[in-house]
Amino acid sequence: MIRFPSFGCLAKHILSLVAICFSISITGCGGNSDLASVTGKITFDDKPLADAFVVFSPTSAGTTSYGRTNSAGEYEMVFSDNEKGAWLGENIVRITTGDVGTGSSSAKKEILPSVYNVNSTLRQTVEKKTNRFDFDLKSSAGKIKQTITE
Amino acid sequence: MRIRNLRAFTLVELLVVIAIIGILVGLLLPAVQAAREAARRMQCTNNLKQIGLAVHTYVDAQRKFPSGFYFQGPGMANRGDRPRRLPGFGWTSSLLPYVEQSALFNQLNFNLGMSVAPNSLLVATVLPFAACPSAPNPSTNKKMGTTGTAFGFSDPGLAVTNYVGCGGSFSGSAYYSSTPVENKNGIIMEDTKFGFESVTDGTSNTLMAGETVYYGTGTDSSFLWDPTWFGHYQSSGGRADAPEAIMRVGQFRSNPPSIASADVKRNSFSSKHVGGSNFVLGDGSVHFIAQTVQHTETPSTAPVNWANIGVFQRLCSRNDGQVVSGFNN
Repeated sequence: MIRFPSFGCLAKHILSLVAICFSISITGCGGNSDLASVTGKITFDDKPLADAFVVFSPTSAGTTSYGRTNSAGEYEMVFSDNEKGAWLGENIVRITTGDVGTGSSSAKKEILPSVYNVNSTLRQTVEKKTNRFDFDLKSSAGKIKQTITE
Repeated sequence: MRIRNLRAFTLVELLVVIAIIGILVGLLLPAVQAAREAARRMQCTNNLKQIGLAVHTYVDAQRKFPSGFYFQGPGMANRGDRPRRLPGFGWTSSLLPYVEQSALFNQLNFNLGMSVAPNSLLVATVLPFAACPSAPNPSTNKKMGTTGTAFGFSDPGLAVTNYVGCGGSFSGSAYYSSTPVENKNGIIMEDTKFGFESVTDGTSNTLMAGETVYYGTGTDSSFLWDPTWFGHYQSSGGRADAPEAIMRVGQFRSNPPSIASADVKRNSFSSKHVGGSNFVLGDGSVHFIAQTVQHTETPSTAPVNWANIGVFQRLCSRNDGQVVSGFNN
């Protein structure tokens, strides 16, 4: 009965090896180091803005991330379906409510002034941390421009 | 002392063997899946190469690039005079004789609309090289009408593709009526009549066509701009003008997440390949361009401030005059 404890020991080692492999496979893949988490809240004339489309476009390197506000006006930037965050550095922020109808959903009108979308003056610098950017939009900021055409 | 029979396996030994096999399979499976995806990506590359070669042969024969979208067939009345915009054929139909589909090309009647027989039956022909093997295409053709209308449920529908022309850098670039004139800077655009001389950036620096995924379900018009081979026809309101369905532009980055707006989805290139998508350049070379390539999503202005515009939008333009390098990594 000497062998049993030693085999049990080996089994434990194997189990820990399995655990290590599993944790590597979970943490190892994905994760773009140029992205940082960005969340926030958007209000329009002091009311939460629901179903607004948020775009962060970096000005120097990298590419855009997208977000969409929920009914409370909260958004989270998403790079792809399995990567969250926006690109590090200075970003032009564009917030829009207009969209085309797809056949199953109807078209939506732009209600935000053009200084928030097509002629955006909004700039934010995404840093390597959990960023939170709240936007307080005003209808008095300028004219609305309907840019999307069917 | 009792001597144990050492010929048999103990339970622990058996478990250890199973655990080792489990680890090995666990390591191997992702590698096998990656190899399968790599093979599909290569097949997709080859499809785009064929399309690139076909465009070059077309230019050799016709002295101009295929027009992305035919607003009107030969012999039809002038633009403003037409109550219905027919026939709806696109650049991919003009390529048919150059991809060994002359028989199909000769049967199509380009004086009639796509929705009119015999065209309506022929445009259901699925060409094997027109689909990317990684893309989740529907098994049926695209049906964009309702019961009783052209391309409605009673018709065989339009064959689906994953390859679309590059219409330029901005939203609406592919349209003939796009303004300002700087907008119309792609290679495959509606009603064009130009050849290689108009690609002043150089054909090796300009995207000609790329790929896109199918968003709708295939059984109804839930996404109006899903890519179709031969052309596009939107029966609602008598419209056949949907350049977004057979062309994409550089306004938005490739492979947008599923939360993106319908406007982003109908204008952007996309694929199911990991990390980017395939493009054929004007010179016929196929490149895999990462979805992380620099992109600013700059809206069009007159004049365009090209110095502040990202690499991807510059690649989509044939005449921006900017040097583009380092996109292929």
